[in-house]
Amino acid sequence: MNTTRIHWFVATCLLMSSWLAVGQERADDKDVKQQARTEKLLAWTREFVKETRVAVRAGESERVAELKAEPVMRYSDEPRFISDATLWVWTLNSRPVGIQKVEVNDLVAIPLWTICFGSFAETNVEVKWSSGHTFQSKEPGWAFEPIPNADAPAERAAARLFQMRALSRRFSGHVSPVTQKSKVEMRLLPKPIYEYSDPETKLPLGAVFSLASNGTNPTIFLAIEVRRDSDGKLGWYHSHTRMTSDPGALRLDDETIWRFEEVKHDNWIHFFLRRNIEFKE
Amino acid sequence: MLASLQFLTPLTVALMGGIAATLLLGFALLRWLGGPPAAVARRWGLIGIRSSAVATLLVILLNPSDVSQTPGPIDRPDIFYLLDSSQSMAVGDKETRFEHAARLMREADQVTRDEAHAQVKLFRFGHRLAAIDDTSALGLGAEGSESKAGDLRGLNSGRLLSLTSEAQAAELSASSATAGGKAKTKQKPLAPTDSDTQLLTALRQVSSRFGRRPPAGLVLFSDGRARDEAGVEQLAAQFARLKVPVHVVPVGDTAKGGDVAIVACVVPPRARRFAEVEVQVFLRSYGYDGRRCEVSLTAPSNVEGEPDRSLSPVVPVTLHDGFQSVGLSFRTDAKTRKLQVAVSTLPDEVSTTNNMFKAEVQIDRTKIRVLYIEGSSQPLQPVQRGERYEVRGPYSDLQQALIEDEDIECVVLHAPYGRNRLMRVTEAGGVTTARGFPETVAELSAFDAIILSDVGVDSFTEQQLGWLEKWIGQRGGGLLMVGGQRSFAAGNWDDTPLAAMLPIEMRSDNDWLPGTQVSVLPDSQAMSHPLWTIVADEQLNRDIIGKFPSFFGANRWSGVKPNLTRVLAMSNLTAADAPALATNPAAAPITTKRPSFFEALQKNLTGKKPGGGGQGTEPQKSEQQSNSGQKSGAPTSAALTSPTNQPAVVVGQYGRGRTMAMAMPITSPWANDFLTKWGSGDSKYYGKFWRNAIYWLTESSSIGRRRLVVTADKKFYRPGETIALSAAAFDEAANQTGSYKITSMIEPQTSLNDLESNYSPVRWPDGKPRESGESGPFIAWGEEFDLPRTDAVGGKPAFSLELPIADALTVGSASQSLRVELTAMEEFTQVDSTSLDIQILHDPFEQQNPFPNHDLLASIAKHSGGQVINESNQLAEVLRDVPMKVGIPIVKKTPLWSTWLLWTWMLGLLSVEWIWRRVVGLA
Repeated sequence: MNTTRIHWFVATCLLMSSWLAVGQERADDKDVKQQARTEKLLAWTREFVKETRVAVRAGESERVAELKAEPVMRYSDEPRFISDATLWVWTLNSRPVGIQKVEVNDLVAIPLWTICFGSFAETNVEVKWSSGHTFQSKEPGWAFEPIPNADAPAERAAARLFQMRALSRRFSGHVSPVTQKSKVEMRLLPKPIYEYSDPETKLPLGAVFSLASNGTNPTIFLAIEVRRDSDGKLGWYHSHTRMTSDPGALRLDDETIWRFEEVKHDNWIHFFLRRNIEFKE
Repeated sequence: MLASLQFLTPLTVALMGGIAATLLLGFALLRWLGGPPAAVARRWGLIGIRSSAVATLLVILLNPSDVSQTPGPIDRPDIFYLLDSSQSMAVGDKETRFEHAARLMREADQVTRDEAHAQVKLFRFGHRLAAIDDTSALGLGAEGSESKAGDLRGLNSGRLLSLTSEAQAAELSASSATAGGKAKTKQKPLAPTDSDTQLLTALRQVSSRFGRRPPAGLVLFSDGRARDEAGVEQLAAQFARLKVPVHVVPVGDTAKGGDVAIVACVVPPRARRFAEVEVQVFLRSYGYDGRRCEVSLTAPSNVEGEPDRSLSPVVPVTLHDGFQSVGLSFRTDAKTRKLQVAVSTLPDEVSTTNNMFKAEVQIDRTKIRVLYIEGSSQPLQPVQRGERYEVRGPYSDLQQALIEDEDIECVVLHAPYGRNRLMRVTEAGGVTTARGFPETVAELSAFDAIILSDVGVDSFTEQQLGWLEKWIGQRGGGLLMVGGQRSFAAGNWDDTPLAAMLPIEMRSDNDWLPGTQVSVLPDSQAMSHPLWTIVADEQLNRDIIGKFPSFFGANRWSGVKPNLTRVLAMSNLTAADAPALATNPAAAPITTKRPSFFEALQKNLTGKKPGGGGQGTEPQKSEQQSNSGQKSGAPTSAALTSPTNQPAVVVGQYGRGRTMAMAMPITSPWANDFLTKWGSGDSKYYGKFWRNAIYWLTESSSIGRRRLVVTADKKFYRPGETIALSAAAFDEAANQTGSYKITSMIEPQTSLNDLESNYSPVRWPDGKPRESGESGPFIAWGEEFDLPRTDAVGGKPAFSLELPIADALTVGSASQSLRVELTAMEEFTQVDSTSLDIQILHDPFEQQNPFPNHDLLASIAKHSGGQVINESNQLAEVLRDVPMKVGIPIVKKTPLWSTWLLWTWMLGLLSVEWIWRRVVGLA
C-alpha cells in the first residue's frame, strides 16, 4: 500500500469520525434541549405543588396531607393539546387522599397551565393553592363498594398484587369528548400509579389504577383495596374518581356501573393559570 | 353400649349365713343376760328405724351395681386405593376414565356399607402421591346422600379438565365454583389434572405410608398409561413378598381407533377492528397416521338453532402421529369475537370432546385518528340540517364516511384553491385559521393515518415532510395519497421523501390527466384484500365490487414499486366528456364568483367554452393556472394521447407503516359516481370502502399516543427457546428515548394460589445482576427486572432483553401463558406501562398416547398376587374378604350404693333413732 493511499485512508477515517461525532452531538443537543424543557416544567410544577395545602377534614378535626416528593406519573395528551403533564399524590398515613394534575395546555393561543385536583379521601378535603384558588369538597372522593365475584384477598403479598391487577382488568371505560362526535375508549395502564400497604401487616392493601384516554392521560382513577366487611371478613373493594370534564362511563365486566355526565365539582376541581413558560420546540 | 343391674356382693352365701347366725346368737345372748328390754324401749317406731338401718346395710352388702359392656375393638385391615389423577384419566366421552373409577368405588361402598369390611384409605397419584383425607369427595363413606351429590358434581367437573384447553378448564372451574360455592380448603381438588403419571414412584412412595402394619392390599385405579413402566413388575413382586396384593381396576376403552385432539391454539388476545388475525392451531394425533381431516374456524352462534358462522376456509390436514400445527386466519369485525376451532371427528376416536377448542379475541377500541388534508378547490356551501346550518366542503363526504365509525376520529385540514396554508375544519364544518398542520412531531404522532387529497407539496415545510417520514416509517402510521391535479407528480411530490414511501413510482412531469374517464377494475386476485370487503356475503360482495364506479381524471404513474406492494385495482383510461355540472348539485358553488373549474375541465375535455345555462360564470383563468401547488406545464403528450390500462389502487409498506396510492381524485365532480351512486342511493359502499382503507392502513400503527411500545420476537415459544423482548420508549416530544428505565415483571395468567411453584418457567438471564434477593435459576412471579438499553441499528435508543425458557414445563396443558408487564420509569415517575402476553407450547407426556395400557395393570396384579377387577361387586368382595380380629370387650361396673342419697338416708335413720332415744330417756 503506497503512502498516498494510506493518507487517503486516514483522511477518510477522520472525516467519518468527525461526521459521526457531529451526528452524536446533534442527538445530544436534542437530549439537552429536552432535558432543559423537562427541568423547567418540573421546577415550576414542583414549586407549585409544594405550596398546595391539602387538608382532610373529619368532623371538627383537620389533618394536613403529605405530598409525595416525586410525581407518580408524567404524561401527554396531544389530541387535547397537552404536550406535557405531571401527576402528584398526597397521602395521610400512607393512604392516598388527593391527586393533582399539572398540565401544559396549548389548546388556545394563550399558554396555560391546567390544574386539576381530585379527592381520594373518604371524608371531605380542603385545598388551597398559592394562586389563591381554594376548593372544599362537598362529598368524599372515594366511596368503596365490594367487587362482586372476587376471590378472597390472598395471604401472600405477590399473590395480592396479581389479584389487584387481575381485578383491574375487569374494569373498562370511555369518555365522550365534547370536541368529538364519538366516544373514546380508555386504556387501563397495567401498572398502578400508586400502591399502598397495610402499616401493620406490610401486606399490599390497595392500588390506584388509571384508565387513560389518548394514550397516557389518566382520566378515571380506579382504586382497588382490601377492606373488611361488617363481619370483619376481608374482601376486595373498589372506588373511582373522574378527572375530566367530558362525560363518560365506567364498566365492570362490561356492565356500566358509573355514568358521569355534567361537570359537578363535588369531589374534584380544575382551573387554569396563565403560563409564562414556552414548551414548544 | 350394654347396661344392666347386677348384685355383685363380695360375700358368699355361707359367709352371709354365718353372719346372720352370729347376729342372731348375739341377740339371743344379750337378751338372756340383760333380760327383756325396758318397756320404754319397746316402741315400734324405734324398732322400725333400726330395722330400716339394718336392711340398708344388708342392701349395701349385696353390692347392687350398674354393669355396662363395650365390645372389643374390631381390627379392620386397611385397603389402600390408589387413584390415577393424571390427565389421561379425563379421556372419554359419556364417562371419563376418572369417572368410571369413581363410580366403581361408590358402588362397592354402597354394597359394603352395612357390613364389616376393610378400611379404605385413598391416595391420588400422577405427578406425585398424595393422601386424600376427605374420601367423601368421591362419595365414599358419606353418611348423607346430599353431600355425595355435591361431591359428584365435583367429580364430574373433572372430566374435561385435561386434554382440553386451559381456558376450558378455567371456565369449567369457574362454573363449578359458582354452582357449588367456593372451596373452603386449600387441598388440590380431586380431579384428573396431573400432567404426568409416575406409577412406579407412586408404588414406591406408598410403602412409606403403611405404618406399623401393611395394608391388606392395594387397589390401583388407572388406565395403565404411565411414564415409568420399567421396573413396575419387580416392584409388584416385592409387594407379593410383603403379602400386600395389588389389585388393579383398569379403566378406559382399549377397542378405539385412536385420537385427534386440538391441544392448544395461539391467538392474540386483542386485535384492532377489521384486522387480519392469525390463529395457530396445534393438533396432537395418535393412531391415524396418514389420515386426512379438516380444521375449521367458526364463530359460535348465540342463537339456538342458528348455525355457526365460518370465519375462514376449512383447512385440510394430513395427520401424522404426534404434534403438528395448522395456520388459519380471519379478519376481525366490530365486536369481540368468540372463536371455535374444530378438527373433524374421525371414526372410533377415544374422545371427541377434545376435537374442539374455544378462544376469544377482544377488540381493541383505541381510537384511530386520521389527519385528512384536502386541497380541492370546491367551494364551501351552507347546508341546512334540521334547524342548524352546517358548512359542507369537498372534504365533508369522506369525513362523514369515516366518523360514522365511532372508533375513528377524522381531523380535516383544508387548503382551498390549492393555497399553501392549511386550515383546520371546525366542528360546524367551516375552517379556522387558528390551527393548521400539527406544530410538533408529537402532535403529528398522535395520529394514526394521513390522507393527502389534491394537495401540493408546497403546503408543507421540509420539516413537516421529515416528520411524516419518521412517523410512517418508525411508528407505523398509514399514508394514503389520492389523485388530483395537485397530487403525485402534478403536486411536485415526485422529489420528496413521500415519493420513496408511496408504493408507486411517480413520473417526473405533470401526471394529471383531467380529460379521462377512468373505469376501475378490481383485481380478481386481490379480492381477499380487506379493502374489498364491502359486505359479508361473498357473492354479493363480488357484485358490488364489480360495479365500482368510474371517475373522471387520474394521475398517471410510471410504475409500481417492486417490493412489498400489491395492486388492488387496475384502471381503464379513455377520453371522455366532462362531467356535467348539473349532475353535481352538492358541488355547486353558491356564493363564489371565482371561475368554476368545471368550465376549465369542460374546456380541457372538449376544447369548447362551456355553454350557457347552469350556474357557470365567465372563467377568468383556468383552474390549472390558478393552483399554486400544481406542477407547471401541460401533461405530456404521451399521457394525453395514449390512455391505456394502469394500476388504479396500489398498497404497500414503508418501514413499520402502510401506504396506499389511488390514482383517481375523490372529490366532486371527478368522483361524482363514487360519491353518490355506489350503493343503494345512500353511498354506504363508499363509506365502507374508506373505513376499510383506514383500518388496513392503521393495522401496524403503534398508536402514537403511547409512550412505551413493546414487542416479542415470536407469537409463541417452546421450552428451551428464548424470548427476545424489545421496547421503544418515547418522550413527550415523541422522540425515541433511552433516558427512561424499563422495568418488568412476569405475572401468571392464572391465580397464584393455583400455581405449584413461586417461580415462572423463565430463567434469570446469565450474568444479569439481581437486586431482588432471589437466587434461584428462575425468575420468581412478580420479581422485578429491567430491560437494559441496547440501541438498535440506526442508533435509535431502544431496550431489549433475552429471557430463556425452561427446558420443560410442569403444567399439564399443552400451553402456558405468561403476562409480562413493562413500565417506562423516569426515576420514580411512571411514564407509561403496557403488558405483553407470552404463550409457551409444549408436548406433555399425558397427551402423547391416549390409549390405556391394561396389559401393564394385569401384569402388576399377576406379579403381586392381586386380582384384575372389572366390576364393583368384585371390588366389594375384596373389601369384605379381609381377616378381621375382634378385641376383648370392656366391662364397666358402677356400684349403685355409692351415692350420697343412700348415705344421707343412713345417717338420717341413725340420727333420728339416737335423738328419739335421748328424748325418751334411754342412754
